[in-house]
Amino acid sequence: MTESERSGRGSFMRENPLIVASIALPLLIVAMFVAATGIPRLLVEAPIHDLVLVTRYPATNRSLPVSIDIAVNNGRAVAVVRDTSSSTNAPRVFMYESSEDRVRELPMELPANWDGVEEGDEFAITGLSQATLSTTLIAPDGYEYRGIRRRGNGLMFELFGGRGYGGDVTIGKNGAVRRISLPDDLPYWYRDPRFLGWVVEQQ
Amino acid sequence: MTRTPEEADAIDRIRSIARAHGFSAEEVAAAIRASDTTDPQRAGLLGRILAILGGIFVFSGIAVFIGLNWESMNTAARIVVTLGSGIATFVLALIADHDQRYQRAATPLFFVAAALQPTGLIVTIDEFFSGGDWHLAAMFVSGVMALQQGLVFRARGRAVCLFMTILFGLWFLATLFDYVGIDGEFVAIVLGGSTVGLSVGLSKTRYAEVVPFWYLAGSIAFYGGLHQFVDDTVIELLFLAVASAGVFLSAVVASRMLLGVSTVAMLGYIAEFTAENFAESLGWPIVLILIGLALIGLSGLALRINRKYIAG
Repeated sequence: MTESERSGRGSFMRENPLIVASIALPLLIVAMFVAATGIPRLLVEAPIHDLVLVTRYPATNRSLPVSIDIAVNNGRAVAVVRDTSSSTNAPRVFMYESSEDRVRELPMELPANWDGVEEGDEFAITGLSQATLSTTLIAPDGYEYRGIRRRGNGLMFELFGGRGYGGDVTIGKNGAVRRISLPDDLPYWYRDPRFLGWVVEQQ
Repeated sequence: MTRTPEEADAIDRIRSIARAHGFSAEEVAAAIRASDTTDPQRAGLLGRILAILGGIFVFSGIAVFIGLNWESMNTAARIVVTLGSGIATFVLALIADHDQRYQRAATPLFFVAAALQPTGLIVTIDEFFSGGDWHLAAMFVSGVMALQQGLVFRARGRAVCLFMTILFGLWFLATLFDYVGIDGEFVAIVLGGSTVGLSVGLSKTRYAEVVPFWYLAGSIAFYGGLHQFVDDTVIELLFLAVASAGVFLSAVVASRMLLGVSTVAMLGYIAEFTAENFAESLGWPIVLILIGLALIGLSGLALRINRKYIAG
């Protein structure tokens, strides 16, 4: 940068302090917010317990001839047949693995043939059959399930043809907030995840 | 002055026609001057309207054609018709801006380029990437566009590029705020307030022509965010105080847009506050009368401020 460019920029800032302040203020607030949310993350220990979430999946190839629900019975997560006379979309079960800070889908051991299945029958969820779940919103390590923070794509993004579905689940403890993003293949109207529980013990 | 035989013949014919009809030299000269000043203007206005209509038809036709054939286009075709068209229009706008003869065409070309290029960038991202956070895509597109328009504004000093720089800059900041997790009402307050501040600053420069729109957009965002922020809290009346300060500011900076939005904000708040707190005790008829009196009083005040401090 030449001396004249430097002096030109300096004089612009001196002559237009309001313009400079109007541009700098939002950036300053973003920096302060990032610091205010980032520092607690450094000071508060990472979550220990895995989090289990349930959503529904609307695709027809995953629909079931019976209505099933995911529930926690005596600390065990199971798929329970609620109604054999009505069909439903298959639920999907996701586990946030705190040690890896990633989300993994858990398959369910559902029968290929539903004849003879009765209301109240239970099916295991692979990966959770040996896990004990706590259904309290606050895990033993102090992290609290705070639900989904839904976000639109913004008017401008959609105006220019942008697509995407916002909305992250958040957990937090003492000011440290962690976002958990679910897979993008979930359409947003079926995306609302349901809290199932924290994995407090894995045998 | 030497004339060609054709010019001398034309002058002779004008002279003979003028003598035959008894026109004086002044009358002939006045008629020629009048035709010099009016006809090109009429023709220019008509031509401009037809050119604008033609441009709209061509642009709409291309857009519809692309929309109808979108599903049958491959990746390259999609990028070429959106981003390629956008870049081509942007280059045309730059060329038109450099050539004195086509400078009027530069502004609409800059607008069209500013619509096509972000669309093209989003299409390109959509074609090559799947999944991921939409915030990053939006920040990339708005950041690139703000930088492009800002550089052109710096080089050429065109108001349309300043307008676009503000637009894409605000889009970038709003997405960044959302990405880091700041609540919507706070985003509206900060960005709306900053936009009004920027407009006040720009109103003192030679780019004051872009300011009214940003006064309007910034103040609507600011009051909307503030209303959400203070609604049903102990500091709710702060909204009225801030709206009053907005009316005062509008007189200081001589902005009708800011005056209008601040007055509507005050009226809306008074109507809401009266309906929420006095409808049960006074009854709706009395409340409606009170709201009506407030409307009459505040609109009269706004008109007086406009006459005395803004229009005057």
